[in-house]
Amino acid sequence: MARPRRGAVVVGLLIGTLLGPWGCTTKPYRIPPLNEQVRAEIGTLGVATSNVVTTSDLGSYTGGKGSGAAKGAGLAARVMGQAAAQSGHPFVAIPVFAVTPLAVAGGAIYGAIVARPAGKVKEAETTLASAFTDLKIHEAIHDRVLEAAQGRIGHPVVSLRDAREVDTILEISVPAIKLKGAALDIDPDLQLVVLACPRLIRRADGRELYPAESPAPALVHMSASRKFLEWAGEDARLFREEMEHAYQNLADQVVEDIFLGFRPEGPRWRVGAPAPGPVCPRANGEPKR
Amino acid sequence: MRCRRLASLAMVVGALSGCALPAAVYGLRPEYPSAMLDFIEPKVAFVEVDSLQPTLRWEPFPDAETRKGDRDGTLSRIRDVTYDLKILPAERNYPAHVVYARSGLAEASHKMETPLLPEAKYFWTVRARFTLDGATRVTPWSRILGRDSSDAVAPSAYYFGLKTPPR
Repeated sequence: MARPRRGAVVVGLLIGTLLGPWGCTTKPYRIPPLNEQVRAEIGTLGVATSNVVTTSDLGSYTGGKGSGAAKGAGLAARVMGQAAAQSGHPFVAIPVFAVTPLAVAGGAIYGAIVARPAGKVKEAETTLASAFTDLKIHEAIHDRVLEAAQGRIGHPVVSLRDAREVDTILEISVPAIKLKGAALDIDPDLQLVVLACPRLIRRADGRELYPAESPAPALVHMSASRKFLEWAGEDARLFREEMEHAYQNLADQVVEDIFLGFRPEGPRWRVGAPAPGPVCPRANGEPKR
Repeated sequence: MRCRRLASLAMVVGALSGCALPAAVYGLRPEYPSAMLDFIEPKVAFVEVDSLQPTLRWEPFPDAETRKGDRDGTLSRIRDVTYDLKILPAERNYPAHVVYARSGLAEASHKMETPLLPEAKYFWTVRARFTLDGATRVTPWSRILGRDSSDAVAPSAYYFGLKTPPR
């Protein structure tokens, strides 16, 4: 009896694994759209930025043969340790432990070969840090959102810097910018990830009209991937160019999601519970002009 | 015995890698090329099209299924439905910057006006644009429902994939 049951479990697990990606277990984000009554009461919209300070995570990659070897060895040891632990069987764990020194040596050699020269990595980190300092993030996202909203949302749109008489404020922040890649890699492919967090506030009573949930999911711009030294090359040209794309993309997302977005009720438009993703920090204080 | 089973399983997995299955779609459903997902990895499969200037087709909005779900009659107030289309080259299997975009397409199909590069992979996506009670509205950009696909991330690695022929 045990055999057929075990067979059924294996088949069930296989089916589950294979069907997983095709919709049965998907949980994509759904940002709740603005309700129709709120939409009708927007009046004159003032665009502003927030006091949220943008954090950056653009550096600290492995440079130099020594560091590369150490990281390669460490990664190999970790992988072998995990393999032995997951097997849960001494007949597997013992041989895995036996070949671990060999794997660590191999990892060290691989790490030393793949790692970029320490001097170049240091220089690239400095270049990217300097490029980040040069960014006028709040000004740029403010201007792009203003441009994206004007003439498109069916309400007058102004900058809060220029006009005091507005009915609703669209406050936009960029809480984080980072280069994201696989941790288990010496010289990983890195995507530039930029987060944006919009808030819609009724001027008369300060009530937050959007987002409807807390913590709210952040809107995310993700680039195609590049190596660390590619991002930093030519005075961080690719990084600076991608930031321009990010501002535009996020501005369009903000305007389209909040003011133009429409999701019908049919099953085709239904998604599950939110998947874990970056969320917006709690905004404090008055919007900046 | 166990080793033989593992070897058989590895052979099955190996044989299936590179195969694709029809994928569940969020938003407008593509008709040509269709939405496919890689059989082994949960990532978009790139479906080969017949020319460098393919005619892309998708289901019109609102389709019968969407109409059925419209309990409060909102869809009956929709006017002037058109479509937006965008195509993005795939770089290391992730969409890069838009290389082709059209807005306000009257039909649920579009023959590309400029050729794509031969033997290249692209992502594409569409959405409906219309007026509702006099205001412009758009549906979300359509995509495959993947395990970590999300409305909040753009561009999405779950837009539909297409691959161009050699010439």
